[in-house]
Amino acid sequence: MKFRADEISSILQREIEQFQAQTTRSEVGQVVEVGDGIARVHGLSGVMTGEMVTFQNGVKGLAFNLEETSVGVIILGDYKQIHEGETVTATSALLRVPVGEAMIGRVVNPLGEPIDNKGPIVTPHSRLVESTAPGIAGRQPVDEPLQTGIKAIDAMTPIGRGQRELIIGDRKTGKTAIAIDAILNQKGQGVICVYVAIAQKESTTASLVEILTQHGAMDYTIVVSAGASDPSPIQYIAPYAGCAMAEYFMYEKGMPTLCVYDDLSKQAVAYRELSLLLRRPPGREAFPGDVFYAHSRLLERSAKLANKYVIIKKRGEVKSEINEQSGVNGKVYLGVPGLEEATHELKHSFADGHEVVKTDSSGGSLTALPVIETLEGEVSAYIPTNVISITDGQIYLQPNLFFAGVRPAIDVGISVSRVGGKAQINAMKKVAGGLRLDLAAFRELEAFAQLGTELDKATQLQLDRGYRMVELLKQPMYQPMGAIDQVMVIYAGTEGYLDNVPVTKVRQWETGFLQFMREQRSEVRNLLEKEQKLTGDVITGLKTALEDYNVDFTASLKKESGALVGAAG
Amino acid sequence: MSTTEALAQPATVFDEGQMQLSRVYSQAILSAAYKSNVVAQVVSELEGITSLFHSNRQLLAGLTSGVRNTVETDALIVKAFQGNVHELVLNLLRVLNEKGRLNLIHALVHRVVRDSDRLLGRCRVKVQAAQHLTEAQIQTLSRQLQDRLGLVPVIEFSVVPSLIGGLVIRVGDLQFDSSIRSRLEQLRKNLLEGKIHEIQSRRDQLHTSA
Repeated sequence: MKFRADEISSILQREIEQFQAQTTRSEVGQVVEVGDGIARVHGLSGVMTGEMVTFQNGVKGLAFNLEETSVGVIILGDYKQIHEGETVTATSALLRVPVGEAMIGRVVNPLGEPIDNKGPIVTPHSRLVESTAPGIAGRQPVDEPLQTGIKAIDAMTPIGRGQRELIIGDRKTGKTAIAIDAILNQKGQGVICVYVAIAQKESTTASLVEILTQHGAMDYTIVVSAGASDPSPIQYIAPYAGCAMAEYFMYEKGMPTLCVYDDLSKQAVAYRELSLLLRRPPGREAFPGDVFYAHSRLLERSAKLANKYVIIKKRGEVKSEINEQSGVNGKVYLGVPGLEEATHELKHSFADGHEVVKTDSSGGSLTALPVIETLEGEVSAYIPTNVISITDGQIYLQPNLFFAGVRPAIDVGISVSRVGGKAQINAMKKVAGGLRLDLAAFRELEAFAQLGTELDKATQLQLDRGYRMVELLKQPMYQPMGAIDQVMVIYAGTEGYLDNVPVTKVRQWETGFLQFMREQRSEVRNLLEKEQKLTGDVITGLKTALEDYNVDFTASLKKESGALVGAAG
Repeated sequence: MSTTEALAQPATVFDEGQMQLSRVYSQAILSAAYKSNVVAQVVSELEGITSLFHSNRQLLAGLTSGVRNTVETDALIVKAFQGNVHELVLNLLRVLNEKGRLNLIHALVHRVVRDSDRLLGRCRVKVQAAQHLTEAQIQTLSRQLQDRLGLVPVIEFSVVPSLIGGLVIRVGDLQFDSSIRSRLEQLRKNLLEGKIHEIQSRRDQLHTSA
């Protein structure tokens, strides 16, 4: 970077003209001990907990432990550059991170500084890293779906906007892949995504950024990376910083957001490390007593914000921006009761030519997908049980399913979504209603069938359908599927249209069927897309399409096998 | 770390037990000194003793190592300090020895200095300047500080050439900085921020034109 001489001289000129013998007043202390990301500081007697401090070399820190004669500070930067005896200055400010549109498409560290070599980020906006979650009145129930594009999730453990759905499983079971798929599927949906990589290898994060870039997902994604080599305080604050970046779009822009914390077990380990270094008393598994609070206050910040309404004069073609000051009576109506009140007032107190409208910045949401890594499937360990109890459901990934080729390796038996059901689109709710139970029954039967017992026809049929459904729910990585396509294939599976298709050909059938529906029966597909539910017309159209396609598919299979026999002969 | 700094900051800053003990001993010695009207003398002699122990670390180590028993150590203390220090100071050292608390001396003196300042209406002020101040300048500064603080300032002056000009005054944990160095740092920050804004606006222009 080069400075122009005239630019420097103009700034100096301004300084000279406006020179005043200013004295800065600050509260200071001295570093007595430093190491492993924490410092003990003598002095700073007026500092408050959570207050940001700056070390002599510009590195930031957070006052964490206030003791009688010293302050325990966590260092948010390179602690090796800090020496004993150096001055620490209190800033009278809480830690903030830059937020805003300028952050989109960038890879930043938990302090919001760019680490992608794409130049500085200039944004006028910033938000507190630690902020309180919205209260009861400020929220509304989760009722809008957040499509992940993964059939098994969208059908059986659906996620709603504003929900907190835990992704839990052993190492190498596809946890990150699910989160990345969910991000990729938000393309064109107007959802801003934040991916927080906590204590991950830099190479892993780099390859994820590459995948997101290749799929065009960096256009709406911010990546916050706290690498494995970063000190524990940086890893500890990473999810809070990522959350703050998403909150900007939720609170200020009224937009839906998705935040992936990958993963919170590593964040808990980082918190344990710095707590022990700060000599806080250890509890279960040596975690500090407030590790539950560390996660609960983070995940509580996920929300579906209530809509705010104002009464305005009817707008013409030009839709101007609506904010809380736009109301003709200066009132803002909050949530569903507010909407009723506003409608009532509109009817009784206002002449024609007025309308009730939602403000642009209200109704945003923050959906959280925290990830927890278990050891040998141990979900009853301290951190997994904590996070399971905080979240609104979990997607449990099984290593044995993964190695059996069932990918995503979701264990449908113990994966749940406590609030997502209300957020499913009507059509999906109808086709996937019994899918979970059917699959659970299939798993039981499957175990029974392995004993080699002779089975009756009905049971054999149920087993056969189960095998096909399992095959149908398999999905390759980074290929999310639209909700309408999912409804069509699951409908086909549950209605028995795949019963005569060989299990090995299910994937081929699925690809062909979706292409058939797009190219030859687009009217049925469009109708379903428009209605979003299985009306009589849609069902009739689907049935006819499935029958026709099955005839073609069986013929092509016969032709294929005939060709194979011919080649062998 | 200089001797003055070492004195200002006890080695056992995190030992809460020692801090509490030194508070109790400090109250006791200062009450006794106040009664005999020798607070300033006692404090100054105690500072001298810690400075002595600080420069001769083996001396304190020898007294507290346990090689000699309490009676032998007491005899040594009497031999070394009787006649050289006030009787109260000598007695304090002997009591500390008897209770096995001689290793408390640095924390205790730190506390005594703090408490005596409060008792005598004084306050320690660290002043840094780029060059030596004249006696008249120090007097003016002292007067102004007394007016502002309402306490008698005890100025510890040091020369820090890197300040370039101006003063840095530290009273307790509060620091008042009017140095040229900090103003230049601020200027540097402003310049960099201005540059970042320029880069961003140019980039935005490029995006818009594209």
